[in-house]
Amino acid sequence: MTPNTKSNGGGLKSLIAKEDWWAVWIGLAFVIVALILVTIGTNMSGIAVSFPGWSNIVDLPGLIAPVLPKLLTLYIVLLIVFTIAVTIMKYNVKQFIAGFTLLFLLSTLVQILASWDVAKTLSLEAPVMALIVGMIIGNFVKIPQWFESGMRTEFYVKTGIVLMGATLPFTLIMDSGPMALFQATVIAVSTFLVIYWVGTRLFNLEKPFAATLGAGGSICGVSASIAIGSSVNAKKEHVSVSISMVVIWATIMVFLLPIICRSIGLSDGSAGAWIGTSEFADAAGVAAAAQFGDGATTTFTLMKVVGRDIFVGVWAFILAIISVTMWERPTEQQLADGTAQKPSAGVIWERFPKFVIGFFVASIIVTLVNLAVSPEMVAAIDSGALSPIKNLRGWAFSLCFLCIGLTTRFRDLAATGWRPFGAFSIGVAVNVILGFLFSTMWLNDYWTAVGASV
Amino acid sequence: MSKVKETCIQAACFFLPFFENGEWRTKGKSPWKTVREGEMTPERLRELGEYTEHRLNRNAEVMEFLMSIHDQWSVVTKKDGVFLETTTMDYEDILPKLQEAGFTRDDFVLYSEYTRKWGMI
Repeated sequence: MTPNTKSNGGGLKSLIAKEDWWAVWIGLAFVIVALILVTIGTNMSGIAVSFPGWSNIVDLPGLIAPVLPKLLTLYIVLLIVFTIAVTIMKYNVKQFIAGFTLLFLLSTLVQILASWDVAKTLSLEAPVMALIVGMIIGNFVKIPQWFESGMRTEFYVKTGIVLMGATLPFTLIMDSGPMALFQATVIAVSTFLVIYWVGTRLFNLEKPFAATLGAGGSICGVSASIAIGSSVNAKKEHVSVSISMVVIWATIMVFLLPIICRSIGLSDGSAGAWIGTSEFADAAGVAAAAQFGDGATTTFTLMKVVGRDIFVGVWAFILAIISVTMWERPTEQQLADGTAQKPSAGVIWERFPKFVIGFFVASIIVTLVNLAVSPEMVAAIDSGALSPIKNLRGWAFSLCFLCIGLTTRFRDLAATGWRPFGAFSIGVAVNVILGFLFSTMWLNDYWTAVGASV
Repeated sequence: MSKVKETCIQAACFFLPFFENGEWRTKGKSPWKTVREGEMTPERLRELGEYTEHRLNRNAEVMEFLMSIHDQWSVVTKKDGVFLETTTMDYEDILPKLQEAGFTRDDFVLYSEYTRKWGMI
């Protein structure tokens, strides 16, 4: 893995050196190719692979055999695309190819397993199945280094989110984005302040540590812990603990939130909004929301990507200013001669999750094309382009869910200590309760309607 | 706190600015700008020369010291200074050594950048 550093982080070079940008290029390339294929009278269904339901294992070979050519084509296409990216990003290509191949095979097995009648009866759909299978393997089997090279959790989920942009009309984003922003901001700010206050006042944590914990629990999980930890020069130990807290609680929430949503019969739209507000990490949230319908995925995405993720840079900038002017306490001489460090607003762009740009661009492209063509063509785009893109998105997420399971090794998490655990957990309680009230009571009708509209 | 297992990689970066108003120092003007504002005199040129010599010597001393306590630095030179980065020694271990050797926060700007240690959520 290439670490983020100050000297490799910016400029045009980052357009081909960062996973975020590669997720944008790959996602947009698929969308544009899909649209072009429909325009010339064909489509991308050759790589749209789904497995039929089955109940008896002896029927499996007969059901799977017809899907194999498409499956092989999908594997080759994804392998080529991702390998180009990792080659340019200077990862170990041989190890990636080997790791990706095994991951793809496992993902295929998980999807076949999820098509089993018994799994469907137990509500063990593909995302949950992938998580469980991954966690069992990851925690009980030693994963070789070459396999880890194929586990690019963030890469797959970001590519999936860019593809999701194509299936979400930009008009919907414009209509519901402000409401998502309002709900997400109120809850994120409240959660951050609670974790920070409890951390510094009750548990005597250092301020940069409490801020890093607060960011992980309120903005966007591990990504936020890393961004804010870097901005406030938090200690490595503190960033490690914050990451561990996020992973532990995100893993609990992947299972807990859908169970509660089902048990109280929430609509897809409300469930997605709650998960988008109260799940800590994008990939874990996608896995939780994907257990419901498209409506849940839509409201989750509005809440998490539009309402929360895009502001990580702003948080980083504000906290960097606070860190430099208050926590690091510049001397009077430094203040007088202007030599005290002062954060630049460039931090906002530096920390901005670039894949979100791809998400918006994909949405705008498809919306504009649909507005410009005939109703017949809109129908053709829906079946010939958007349907395969949804399928492809499903595969990207499936790879990601497996990676989450495989890489969530509880023995490798930091021994966090009870004080940060206490501060973070109190924040989790506030976040989940506020998210529940907003999504299922105060704005229930709104999110239900948004979920039902897709 | 009990011993923490690391879940991230730290890139510790020390920026040695050529002038006092480096990337983070917007209030203090660079002597190269100041020198153009007033009337140029031999004395002003000498002052600038002395300042530049002092500044660059100080940078060299910090660089020399950092390289003496650790040998895995990536050195990148940009228009306004030199970056020394390492992912194999934490800044928490480096800072006390720098202070002990008499260097202050006026001599360098510290940045830390974190990356996930493994491909987790």
